[in-house]
Amino acid sequence: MNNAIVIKDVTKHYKDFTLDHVSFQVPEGSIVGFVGENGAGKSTTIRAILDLIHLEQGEIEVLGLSRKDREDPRWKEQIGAVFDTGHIPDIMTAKQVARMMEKLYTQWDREAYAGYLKRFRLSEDKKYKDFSRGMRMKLSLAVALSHGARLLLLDECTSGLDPMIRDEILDLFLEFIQKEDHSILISSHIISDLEKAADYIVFIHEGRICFEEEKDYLRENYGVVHGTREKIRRLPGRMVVGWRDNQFGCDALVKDRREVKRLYPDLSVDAASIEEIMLYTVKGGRS
Amino acid sequence: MRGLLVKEITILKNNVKTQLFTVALFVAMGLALKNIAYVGMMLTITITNLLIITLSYDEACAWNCYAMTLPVRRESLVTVKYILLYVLSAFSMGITLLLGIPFSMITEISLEECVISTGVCVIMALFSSSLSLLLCFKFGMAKARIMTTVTYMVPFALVFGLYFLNVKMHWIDMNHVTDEMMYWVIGLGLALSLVLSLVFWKISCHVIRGQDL
Amino acid sequence: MESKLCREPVRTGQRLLLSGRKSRVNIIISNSSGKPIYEQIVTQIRQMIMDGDLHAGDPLPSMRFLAQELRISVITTKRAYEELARDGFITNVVGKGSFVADVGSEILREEGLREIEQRLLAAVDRAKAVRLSKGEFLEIVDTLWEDNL
Repeated sequence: MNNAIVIKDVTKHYKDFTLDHVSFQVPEGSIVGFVGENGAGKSTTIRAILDLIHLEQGEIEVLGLSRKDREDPRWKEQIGAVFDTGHIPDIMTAKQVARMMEKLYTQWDREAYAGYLKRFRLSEDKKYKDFSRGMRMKLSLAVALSHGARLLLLDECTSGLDPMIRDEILDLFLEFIQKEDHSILISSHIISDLEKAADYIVFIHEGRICFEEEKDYLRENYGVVHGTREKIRRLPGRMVVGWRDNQFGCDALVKDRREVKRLYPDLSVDAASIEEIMLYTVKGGRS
Repeated sequence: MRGLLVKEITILKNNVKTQLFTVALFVAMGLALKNIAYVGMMLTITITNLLIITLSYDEACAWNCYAMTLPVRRESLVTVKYILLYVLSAFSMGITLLLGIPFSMITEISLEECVISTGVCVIMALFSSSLSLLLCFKFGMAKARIMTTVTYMVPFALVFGLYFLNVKMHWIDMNHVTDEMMYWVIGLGLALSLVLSLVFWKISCHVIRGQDL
Repeated sequence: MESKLCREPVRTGQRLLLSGRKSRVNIIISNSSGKPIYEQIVTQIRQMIMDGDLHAGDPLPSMRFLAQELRISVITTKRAYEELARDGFITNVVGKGSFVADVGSEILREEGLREIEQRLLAAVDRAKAVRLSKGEFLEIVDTLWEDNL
């Protein structure tokens, strides 16, 4: 199977943060949710994919193209990017943006763009500064979806949006992914969005990748075990990702909840949400 | 890259009204002061202002970052600004020359003086603005703004410094300076500043290639 | 055949006109049931085939479309379809889509038998729990059989 993005051993040092041998893949045709807390390195990684920053170490392959192949900027016709802050000059209108994009993209689709504007109820003649945050996002998305891109890179583009808009946008992504060679890498710290539709979840923490898994695998196998401190501490180390004590007992994240249920029927076990998996991976004490 | 130019033009169009008003003001003052050089100077400053306006918009919306997701080279981000610079300079040169005709009719300023003033102003514009652009790309707008004032002082200081030194030291007798010589000096100055601006352009390209955006 | 795909909370998906026939096909997913989602899909499609709601040759919604409508991962739907294909209930044709297979009557019968055994086991357990005798149990079976006909 082809990969839309392959990241291998990407490393870069900053003053108070390091991207440390980051490696993961975005298989073609999939939605990969890139999660992590603020400052974990998501945006930095995405900037690395777009060749915005220079890497000390590591390679990135995008749509089968190596860094050298990507020197000719025409490959970027195949990607659409949406960031969290608006990147259009304040005074431009949606119409003016279209005129600019027409000259930049060989495959600019005027009708598609107009269609999205209508669908999002965006006025053609309103200035960008007069758009609300949600509308700005939708405009950026409209642009990203109107030039024949087959890879979408979305960096925290849903933060600050209400659930209704996020749902609308999720619909768009699911539509986009109907074509088998379309892929999406979406970074977010709003897990609920990704919990629904992501195929894979990549979790980054303090510049390092903690796990890269099928979302289904995480949902079907991980679990949170509740019990007394003694009982939890007695669980074998290989089963437990992390635990948290509270006043009345202890909770632990386990990698295979069915195994735990089978071996320790007296412990109560629930399915774990992606958010819990993240929390315990980062904050849980280790046995 | 045409798309990038479209964006710059769109932004400038938005600011044209204010600029036109300012330009009209300068022309009026120039007439009042009977000094076409004044008009030339102000137009030069207008060019830099317009460039700074486009750079401000870029910085405000982190345009460079987004532009790198579009099918353009990094160097195009630099090139489009320099193209803008040359176009605006040519424009202002044209305007100043055109204004020279009515000026020379209304005041006692000779046409030659108009041409020379225009030449000097364009030389300054090319040199200072292209250097300012380079500084902006290298150091970012905030620091570059401070440095820009310096870049404007430098040619002024140079030219006037030399002039006054000449008065003191009598290197060249200004009375023997013919118009032809002046034209040669202006021509050379123009060529030099053009070459320098191209050099600054190349350096800016190099700078942006090595940067993290 | 119209296909209506549902999930809690209920959302109407697009209507797929699969063929001229008019009957409703529902796939209902629950997040909170202990069963993995792909298993729920497998079970429901299999049931529909066995109940005769889906006939041999009927096209199924594409994996991607199903994922989109139910708002789940494509990997899930792919897994479900692959398992159904493995068990012989559907065929996945590259480039064309997935279709209900000509499920031989033996497989249907076997599936039916499997289900009957499961349900009877439950009934037998229950009968023993209330101390019903085997004879009484079989009497009940007789009566129910006659009634149903």
